[in-house]
Amino acid sequence: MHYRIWKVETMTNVPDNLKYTKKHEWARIEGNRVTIGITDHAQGELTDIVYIELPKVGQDVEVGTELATVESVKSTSDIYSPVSGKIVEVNSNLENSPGDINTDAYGKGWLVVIECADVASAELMTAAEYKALLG
Amino acid sequence: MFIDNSINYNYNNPKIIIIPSHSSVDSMNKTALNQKHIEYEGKLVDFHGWEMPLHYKAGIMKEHLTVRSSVGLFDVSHMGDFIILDKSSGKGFQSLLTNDIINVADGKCVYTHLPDDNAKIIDDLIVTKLGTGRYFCVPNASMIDIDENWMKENADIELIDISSDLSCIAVQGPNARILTSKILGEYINTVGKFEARIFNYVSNQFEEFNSLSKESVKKEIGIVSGTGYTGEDGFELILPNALAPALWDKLLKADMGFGALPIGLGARDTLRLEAGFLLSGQDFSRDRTTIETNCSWVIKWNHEFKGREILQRMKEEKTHDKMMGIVLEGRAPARPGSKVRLADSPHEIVGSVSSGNFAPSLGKSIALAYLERQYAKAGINVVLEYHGRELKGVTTKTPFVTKT
Repeated sequence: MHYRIWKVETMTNVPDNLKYTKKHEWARIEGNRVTIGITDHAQGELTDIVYIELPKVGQDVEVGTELATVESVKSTSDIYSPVSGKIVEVNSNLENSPGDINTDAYGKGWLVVIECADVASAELMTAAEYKALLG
Repeated sequence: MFIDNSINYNYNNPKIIIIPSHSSVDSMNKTALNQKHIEYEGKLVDFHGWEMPLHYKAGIMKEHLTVRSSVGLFDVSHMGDFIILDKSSGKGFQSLLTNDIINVADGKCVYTHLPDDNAKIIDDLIVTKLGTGRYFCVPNASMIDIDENWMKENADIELIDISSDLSCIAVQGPNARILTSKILGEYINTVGKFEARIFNYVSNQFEEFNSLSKESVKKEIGIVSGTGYTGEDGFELILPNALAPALWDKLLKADMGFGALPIGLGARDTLRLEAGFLLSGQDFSRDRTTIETNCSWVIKWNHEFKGREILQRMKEEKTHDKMMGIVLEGRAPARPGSKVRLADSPHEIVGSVSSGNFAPSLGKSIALAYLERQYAKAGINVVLEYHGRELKGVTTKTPFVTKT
C-alpha cells in the first residue's frame, strides 16, 4: 500500500469554552442567553460569505428550525437553531460586512442571541466531541 | 447547516496528513498539476470526476479580484484537445458548427457552438484553424467523450484525441502578457487576441502549424493562444504534461512585483459570469438553441450546419426566448432556476435564471436569465424569487464587466 502526502493549510479553530452542534454551529451559554454562530470549519467550507439573512428580534424559534441563510460565492446554506427560545439580539453589522463570519467566526461573526428557557435539554457537544466529529 | 464534505480533512495534525491510496479521492482524474495544487494549498474538490482546486489560500474573492487587477494562473488541463482532419470528401467539420471556421486565417481561434439536429447546443468549443481541413479543438472537460462521439458520427473527419497528453495553464489579467513574455520570450506578444501559434516549450520558439501531431505533443510541442474565459486579456498555454509543473512554478515565482496568484474554479466561475460567458451544462444542456443565448453572433449563415433550418425559422418567427443579464439590487444572489417576474406585474413569470452569483468586481449579485422575448430588453425592472426571498433587479445587456 502506498501513501500520498497531503498538506493542510491551517488547523481549524475549535475554542474549548463553547458548545457545538453536528451541523457546525457553535453556542456560547451565559445563563439563559445563548449566542449562536457557525464554526471556523463551516466558514472555511462555505468560502467567502457575501450575504446573510438573519431573523428578526422577537421571533420565536424551535430546535431544528431554520434560523438564517448564508450566501457565499460557492453556495447557499441554511443554519438551524440548536435551541428553542426567542431571538433577543441580531448582529446587524453582518449586513455590511458578512465577511466577518469568515475572518472572526467566534467573535465579530456571531449571528444571534436567543433567550432560552431550557438550555440543558439542547443537544450540544463539547469542543472535544466536535473535534472528533471533524476527524 | 449541511456542508458537502467530499474531501475530509484531518485536523489533529495540521501540517501533514497521510491518506491511504485506496481512499475515494484517488478514483478521481488528476491533471499533471495536481501536486502543485497541493503545494499551493488548494482546496481540492470533485469537478465532474476531476480532482481540481475550488480555491487556494487567498480564497475565491481575492483570487477573482487579483485576475481583474493583476494576473492569475488557472489549471484548465481537464479540458479536451482534439486534432481534427477533414476527409477528402463528405461532410467536413464545418458542417457541425454554427460559426465559420473556413473563411478565417490559419491560426485564428473561433468560439462556436456544436448543435444537434434540433439546433440544441451540445457544447461550446474553441476551434483553431491550423490549415485547410486541419483544426485544433478544445471541448469542455465534462463533454469530451460526448463531443468526440457526436463529431465522429456526424461528419467525415479523422479525430485524434490528444487530451491525455496535454495540460493547459491559462494566464489571465492585465499583467498576463508582461508575465508570460518574461518567461516564454517577447515574441509571445505577437500572438494577438483569438490567435494561436504552435510553440516549442523547450526552445521557446514558434513552429509551423503542421508541427502539431499526436507524437510531438508528447515531447515539446504545444500551442499558445490568445484566448481565455475570464473577460481579461491573456493566454492559454497548452503544453505537454511533463513540462507543465515547471512552467507553473516559473510563472508564479517570477517575482515581478505584481503578485500573481493561482486561481481556482470558484473564481473562474465568478469571472466568466461577469464576462457574460456561458457555462456548458448550466446555461445550456442540450435544451437551448444558440439563437436564444446572448451569443447569437456565433451563427454564421454562410454555410450549411446541423439545425440551421430550425434556427432560420426561429430567426424569422421571432417568438423565442432570449437571454439577458440581470443586475440585482443587493448582495443576495439568485441562483439557477430562480423565477423572474416583472416588477410591474408580479404575478407573471417571464423567465428563469440559468446562472447567478455574487459579482466581486461589482459588489452586487448578477444573473443570466432566459426571458420571454418581449421582455428581453435592457432596463426592465424585475423581481427574482430565490430561497423564499424576493430580490429586485433590472435587466441589462452583457457583459456585466468590460475591459478596454
